[in-house]
Amino acid sequence: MKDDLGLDSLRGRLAEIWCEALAVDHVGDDTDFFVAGGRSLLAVQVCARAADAFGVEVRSSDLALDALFGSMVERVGESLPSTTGRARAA
Amino acid sequence: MLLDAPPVVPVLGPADCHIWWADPATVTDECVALLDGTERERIPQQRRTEDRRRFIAGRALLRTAAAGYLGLPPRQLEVVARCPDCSRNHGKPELPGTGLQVSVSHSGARVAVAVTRAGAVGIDVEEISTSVSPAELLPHVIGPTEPRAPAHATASGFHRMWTRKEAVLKATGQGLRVPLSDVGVSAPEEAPRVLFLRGPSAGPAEDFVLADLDAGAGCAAAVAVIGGGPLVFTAYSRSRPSAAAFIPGPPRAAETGR
Repeated sequence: MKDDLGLDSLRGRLAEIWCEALAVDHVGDDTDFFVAGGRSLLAVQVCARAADAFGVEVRSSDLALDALFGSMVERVGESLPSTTGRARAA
Repeated sequence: MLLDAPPVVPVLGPADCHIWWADPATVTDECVALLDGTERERIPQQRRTEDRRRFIAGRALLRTAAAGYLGLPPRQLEVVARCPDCSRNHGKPELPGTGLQVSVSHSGARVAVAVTRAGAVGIDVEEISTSVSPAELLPHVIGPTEPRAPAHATASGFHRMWTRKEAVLKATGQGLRVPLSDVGVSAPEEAPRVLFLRGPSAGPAEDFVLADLDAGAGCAAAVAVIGGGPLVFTAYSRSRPSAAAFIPGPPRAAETGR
C-alpha cells in the first residue's frame, strides 16, 4: 500500500512537469509526449526537471525511444533507490 | 502556400543546399490533397490543430519543392519516413531513388525544408521561447569538454547552439535518440562549426558543413550537411502566394562555416 502511494506521488509530480511543458491540464499513461505537442527542446526540459525533482538520471534519449507518460513513470520509478523503485522493479 | 510548380525552378547544383520557407497558417485543403495515404493517416494523430497544420505544411512544402527539381507532380513523389526504433512511420523523410537529400523542421509560424544533393542534411528551426531557461538546460545539452561562452546563457545564444546541434543530429538521422552533449559546436557568436561528434554516429567533425539561417525575428535556425565540400546555401520563400516569390532572388543571408 505504501509502495502504491509512493508511485502515485511520483506519477503526480511527473504529471505536473509534463502538463506544464505541454500546456495541457491532464496527461494519462497513454499520452505520447510528441503526439501531445512535445518538441525536442521540451523533451530535454521535462527530463531535466524530472531529474531535479527525483534526483535520478532521466535521459531524453529514453523519452525519444518510448514517449508514453506511463513508460516514463516506470523508468523513473525503477531508478529510484526507494521502496517505490523496488516495488516497481519487482 | 502556392501549390503550382514554381515558374522558375532554381537549379540545384552538386554544391547547393536550398532552404524553402513557408507559413503553416497558409495551409489549405489543396495542401492536404498533395499528401499520400500514409501522410494523411498521420494528420489526426497530432492532438493540436497547429501541429497538424505544421505537419501538413512541412510535407506539402517538401513535395512541391522536391517535385520542382525532379520535374514531377508533387503527389507522385514517394516520401518514405521510417523510424529505426519502431514500426511507426515517423522519422527523417527520404526520397528514394531521386538523389535528393531532404530535411523538414517546423516551429511556431515557420516551416522549413532543406534540399541538397551534396549529402545527408538536417535542418532545425526553433521559435525563441522565453519559457526556456538556458541555465536549467545547459548542463543537459553541453558536454563537459565543450567550450562554454557567456552567450550560451542568453535566449538567442542558447537557441542558436541548440539549432546547430539539432541540425547535426537530424543530418546523422539520430535525432533525440542520442544526447545533444554528444555534439560539440562552436560558440554562438562564432562562425558555425562542428567541433566533435561522439556516440553511435561518431565521425570526423570536418565532414560537416554547418550554417546558421536567418529565420526572422524571434527565431533561430541552422542547417547541417554531411560529407559536402564548401556549399552554397540559398533560401526561398513560399509563404507569399505570388509567383515572384519563387524566382531565385537575393537569398536571405546564411552564415556559413566549416
